[in-house]
Order: sequence, then C-alpha cells, then structure tokens
Amino acid sequence: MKSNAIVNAFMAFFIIHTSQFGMGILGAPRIVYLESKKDAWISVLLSGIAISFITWIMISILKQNENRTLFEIHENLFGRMFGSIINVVIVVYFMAVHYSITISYVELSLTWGYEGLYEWVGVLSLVLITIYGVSGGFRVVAGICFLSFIIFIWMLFVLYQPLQSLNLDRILPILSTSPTEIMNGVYKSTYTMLGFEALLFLFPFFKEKNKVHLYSQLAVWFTTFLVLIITIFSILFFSSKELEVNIWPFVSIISTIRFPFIERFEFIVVSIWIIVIFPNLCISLFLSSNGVKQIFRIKQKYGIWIISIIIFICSFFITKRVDNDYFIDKVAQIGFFLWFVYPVVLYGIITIKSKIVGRS
Amino acid sequence: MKSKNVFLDYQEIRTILNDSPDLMCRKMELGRQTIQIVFMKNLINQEVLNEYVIKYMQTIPEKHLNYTYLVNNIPIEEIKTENEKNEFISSLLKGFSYIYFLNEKKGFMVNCNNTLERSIEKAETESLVYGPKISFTESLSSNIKIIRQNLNDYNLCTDSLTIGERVKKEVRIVYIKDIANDETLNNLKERLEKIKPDNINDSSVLAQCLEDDHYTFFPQLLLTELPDRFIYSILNGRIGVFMDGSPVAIIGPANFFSFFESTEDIYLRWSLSTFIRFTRIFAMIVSLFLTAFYVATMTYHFELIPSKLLIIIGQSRSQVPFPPLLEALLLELLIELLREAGARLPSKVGQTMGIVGGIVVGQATVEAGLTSNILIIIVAFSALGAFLAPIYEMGTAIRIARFPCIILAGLWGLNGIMISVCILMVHLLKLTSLNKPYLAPLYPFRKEDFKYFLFRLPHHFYTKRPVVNRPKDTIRIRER
Repeated sequence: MKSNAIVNAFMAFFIIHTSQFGMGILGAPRIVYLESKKDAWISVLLSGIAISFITWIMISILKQNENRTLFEIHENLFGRMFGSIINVVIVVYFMAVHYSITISYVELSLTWGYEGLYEWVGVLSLVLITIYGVSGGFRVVAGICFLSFIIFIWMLFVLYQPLQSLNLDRILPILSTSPTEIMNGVYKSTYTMLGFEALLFLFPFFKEKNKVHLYSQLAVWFTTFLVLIITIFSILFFSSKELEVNIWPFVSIISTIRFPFIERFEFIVVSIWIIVIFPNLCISLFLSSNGVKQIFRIKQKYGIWIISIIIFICSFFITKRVDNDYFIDKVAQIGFFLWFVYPVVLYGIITIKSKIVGRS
Repeated sequence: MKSKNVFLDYQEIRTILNDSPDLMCRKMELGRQTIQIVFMKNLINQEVLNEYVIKYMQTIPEKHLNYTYLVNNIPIEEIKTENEKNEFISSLLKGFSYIYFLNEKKGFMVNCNNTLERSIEKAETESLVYGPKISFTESLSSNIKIIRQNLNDYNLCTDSLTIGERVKKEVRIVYIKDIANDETLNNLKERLEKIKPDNINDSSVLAQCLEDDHYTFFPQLLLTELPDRFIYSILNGRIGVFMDGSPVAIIGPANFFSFFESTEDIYLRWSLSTFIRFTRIFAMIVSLFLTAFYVATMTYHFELIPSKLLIIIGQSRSQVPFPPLLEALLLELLIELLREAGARLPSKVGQTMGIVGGIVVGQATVEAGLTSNILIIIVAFSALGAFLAPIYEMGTAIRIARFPCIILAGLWGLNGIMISVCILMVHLLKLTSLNKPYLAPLYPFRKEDFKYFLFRLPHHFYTKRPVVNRPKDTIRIRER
C-alpha cells in the first residue's frame, strides 16, 4: 500500500484544534449555562477530560490499524456490506456538520451587518471557497488549518479590554448546582468540542505516528482551555438573565471593545470568523467526500461536488432560527453518540476480535 | 541518424544562404593550392581574419599548405572540423570563417566572430545602496565570466543546452554540484527540454514557460540582474538559468517570501534588515486590502469608523456622486495609468508626468468632487506598498490581485474581503515552484528557515543552508 503520509506530526495540533474550534464557541457559554448555571465551567472542564480520554481510546484503535482511516477499519472489521452502512451514517453526519456550520455562520452574518441578504448567497460563497480548498487535497487542507490558526489566534488578545467589566461574584459560590445539571452541561458542551474525531480519519496522513498522540492531546486541551476561558468570561461578564437570552455571548463581549481607530470591533470579528470556520468546513467536506470515495469507489472530486450541491440546495429550506436550532441540536446529539460512545464500543469490538483471531 | 561530415563549396553555400550580400569569398592561390575563405562580412572580426588566417597562410612554407597541417597549426583558439550541414550554416552565421581547399575538397572552420556587447553597467531595476553595483549583460559569456570570477569553486557547473527550433539560443543551467538538490535539477532540465517554441525572446519568457502554474498572478521563479543575488541564491542551494541575449537570470525554486528579500538585507545590519523586511510584508498586506477595506466600510459598515474620523470622511465624501466601489476603481485605474505612462515615457518627460499626474490631477479630482481626499491617500499608500517588493514581478502581481479584493469588498463588504483572504490563502497553498511548496517556510512549517525568509539575524547564526531548498551540503559555517 502506498504511504500517503504527507504532513508532520505537529500539524495534528493545528488540524485537530481548528476543526474543534468554530461556530460552537460563539454560542456555547449560553447553552452550557442554561443547564449548569454558575458551574458551567466545571462542565466544560469535565468534558475536556472526557475528550482527552476518548482521544486516548482513538489512538489505541488507530495504533492497531496504522495505515487505515476509520472508513477502511469499518470495512475491514465488519465486511464491505455492513461496514459501508456504518460509513454512510458517518458521511451523512459529516454532511450535517458541514451544513450546520454553514447555516449557523450565515445566520450570524445576517444578524451582524447583512440584514436582508438571502441565505443562499452566503452559503454559495462559503461552499465555493470550501470546494476550492478541498480540491487541493489533504496537504492544502492541513495548510488551511495552520494558516487559519495563525491569522486568528492574535484576536484573543483583544479580550484584555472586557477584563475591567468582569464581576467575580457572579461565579461564586462554586459547586452550587447539582451533579445532574453539571452532567447535562457536559452533554450540552459536546457540540462545541466535537471535531477531534477528525483524528480517526486523518491518522494515515501523519508522518511520525508515535508523536501524534501527544499533539492531539495538546490540541484538545488547548481547545478546552479556550472554551473554558470564554465560558468563564461570559459568566463573569453577563448577569444571569442576560446570558440566558444572548445567543452569541462571545460576540456580545467583543462588541464592547473599542480602539481609537476602530469602533464596533465585533463586525471585524464576525467577518474574520469566516477564516475560523474555513478549516471546519474544509475538514468536514474532506472527510465526507473521502467517505463517499471509500463507499462508492469513485474519485474524491465527484464526492466533493455532489456533497456541495446537496448542501447548497438544502440551504433554501432551513432558514428559520427555530429550525436551525433544532437541526444543530440533533447534530450535536448524533455527534455525542458517534464520537463519545461509539469509539469505546469500537475499541471493545476490536480488542475482542483481535483476541479471538489471536487464539485461533 | 549519424551526422555526416560535409564539405560544401562556395556555390552551394550561396544557394543555401539565399544569395546573401554579406556572404564573401576570398580566393587565394598560393603555389599549387587554391584556397577559398568563405565568411559573412559583418559578423567577423576582420583583424583576426587578416592577421591570423590570411597573413599566416602567406608566410608559412608552401609544403605546409595543406588541410592537415593547417588544422593543427593555425593560430586561432577555436576551430571546427566536423560539421553537419545545419550546424555548418549556423556556425557561419555566428561568425566562423570557412577555409576550403579546392584541390583536396576539404575544409574547416575557424572562429573569428565579433559580437556586439554592451559594457557592464550598474543595475537599473534592482538598485542597491551597499554591495556590488555590477549587473548582468546580454552576453552569456560575460555573465558566466562574472559568476566564475565571483564564485571561484570547481564544483560550479554550467550545463549547456540549446533551446528554440528556429532561432537557437544557448541556455546555461548554473548550480553548485555538491549543494544543489538533484531532484530539482532533473526537474528543471526535463522542463527545459520540453520547451519547443520557434524562438524565446527573453529569459523572462523562458521563466514563464518553466513555471508550474501558468494561470496564476504570482511569479514562481525569481528574475534578477544582480550577480550577487544570483551567487547568494546558488550558494543556498538554488539553481540558476542564463539565456544568451538576456540580461536577466532565472533563479528557482523560489518561495513567496523570497520575493520580499533584497540582497541589501545581507549588507545592512540585522536590526534594520529585519525591520525593513517586516515593513515590506506589511506593505504588501496593506497594498492588497486597504482600498478594499475602505470600500467595504464605506458601503456597508459605517459603524466601524470612530465618529470623529467618520465626520472627516463624510465631509470629504459629501460631494462625491459615485458609490465607493466605482470611486475606488476609478482612482486605482488613474494610478495605474500614471504608472504606465511614467514607465513608457522617456525619463525626462516621465518625471514631469509624475508631477502632473500626482499633484495636478489628484488635486483637481478632489476639488471637482469626483473622489474624496481620504481615498487619494489610501490609493497612493497602497500603490507605494506594491512598489516596495524588491522583485518587480511581485509588485505587479500584488497590484493585479488587489482588484478582485476591491470588487469582492464592494459586493459583500468585510465578508467579501475575508472570502478573498481565504481564496488567496488556498491559492498560495496550492502553488509550487519547481515542485517545492510556494509558501514555505511558513507552510510546511520550517522554523529554522525563518531567519532566511522572514527576518534576519546576525551572521553567525547562519550555520546551515535553508532547508526548503533541500541542499545536499547543509552546512554553511563549520564549527571548530
């Protein structure tokens, strides 16, 4: 088998981090807050620990199948027929992720500065740049993740300005919510943290396989750290009532920032968010088209075009805020089962199978 | 097909050369021998012919006047005895003289050519404050001489190739054998062999034929007329190409950031060079996006501008009848017109043109209320930014790439700019130069090469050659 290892191990950090970090972060503080109130940050921390554990499980699965993506592992494990069925589910899931990112961004941009524009215009432009990015192959997708990270990361320093308006009393006392609510918060925070599953599909592309684990752990912890900071910021910044009705608390925090040469900084952040979600879009399109390639044994570029056209057509139908919310909620649910529960099950199956094979 | 030795006589040559009036034949009868000397009148150095061919033959004893003796003893450095018909004619056209022995029906050629050469002058397109001022000329041999003089290494190879079907031109691939990467070298040679046009006008045309992506705005090979830049690049593991008749050398593989480095960065102190390099890259970004940003804010996002500034801009724009997009495109076009006029006109008129264009026209458009003051500042600033790139081609690329950004900004505001950033990002990631990534060392990330391409350090830090060129001999300074 031809080795297609084309990127260095440390790129795993950028790829996994950028595919986690995206639209979710803008709304996550509120969604987690609705469940676990003041202790939302504990929920985020707990889900970070969970993800760290899952990453370890994933790496253990992948270590046994070094040159296979999850799609190929499925075919190998369950046979072509049954494996393909699971793969179809995964492809549909990634398409849904892709779609959920696209529409939630378009909704955001329509709210901040582009009132009255048709949704499909925004969707079309995002879809086109994503096609352009993904058609360059994995090397370009990895580069997009890297550059997007570099372009965006300095933006976090602007958060020094709202520091003055934080009120430490709002987070105290710690642990005033019940464990059930905290666990609900963990469950709700998963949509934001999803994206680390890309590791399962991209592992064959990395060069030094034994270092990938370290960098993926760094990536998930870095994401957890950012989500944690933004959650704590939101809790300290808004009063309880405010936070509950604010759909994008992060953007609202940014909107208080002022520079002598620029006011309403959030407009720039909302625009720059295109660059932040660009890796998300590219990774999800890359993975889903890779799945299509695996299932139907066709060239990846056909997969890219077919999926993009489907996404574009869908954008005419789901346009209401309520529908979007429902849709994203469902994606989050499926994502939770697929990537928090399923890897553990898969690991069990693989271990049992290898023991059986080893005995006979 | 094996090449055959032909010995043509004067009449045959005459028919092949279409009775050219330049073709001369001097018949000499010395003793029993009858000798014809055939040459092209304007292409040879008459002194050489008179002194070393005709006079020599007249002075030697008659028994030596035969083909074999003369081939061995004629006092001229370069002679040709074996000739295939086409090459024979092209040698004649290069300034060789043909000495033909009528009795023996045999002949050979001697080189007495006299090419027109410009003397070596100061570099014009890339000017330096420090460093050698010498620049390449149109003559291949003097270019090679300059390189050999400054780079005295026996491993310096100058492989020769001929390109062009009708007008044959010599091309030299210059590299240092134990530094240059073999894969890149073979790749370059393969590409050179694939080029089969009638004629290649200049090495910049050759560079365009050699590029990986022919459709992009961005140049993928460095063009330079400075020997010191050439030598610096060769020593860092790159490969250079000369073409006869062109004062510009091609260097590859190049990456995006190498278009923003000037050899002067090495000559100046590290602190200033680093600062200048950052300035260049910053100027490039400004040049690409500043006008677009103006268009976007004026069309969609007034809120971004602080109120004090907004009043100034509002006042200056109050008379303007056009939408910002049209206003910006108009002014950008004006600047491009001025630039082009300045470049084409004779230098004395060109200066007047700049003053008339820059001051008079600019002032008049503002007073007439066609554009705002602020936009004039912005457009002038971004035009300056594009000229900061030390390699002229990169400046032109930036100027062109600005227009899609402005149009997208006019269509979708800031989102349009960000979409153009994404497109640019993907585009630069996709590009390669001689199959090496264009955006290196940023991606693929090579932090040890940053000191070469993004900033400068004091010279003792440069112990290794840049990794992105994949040199065979990686060490520059051996530690004791």
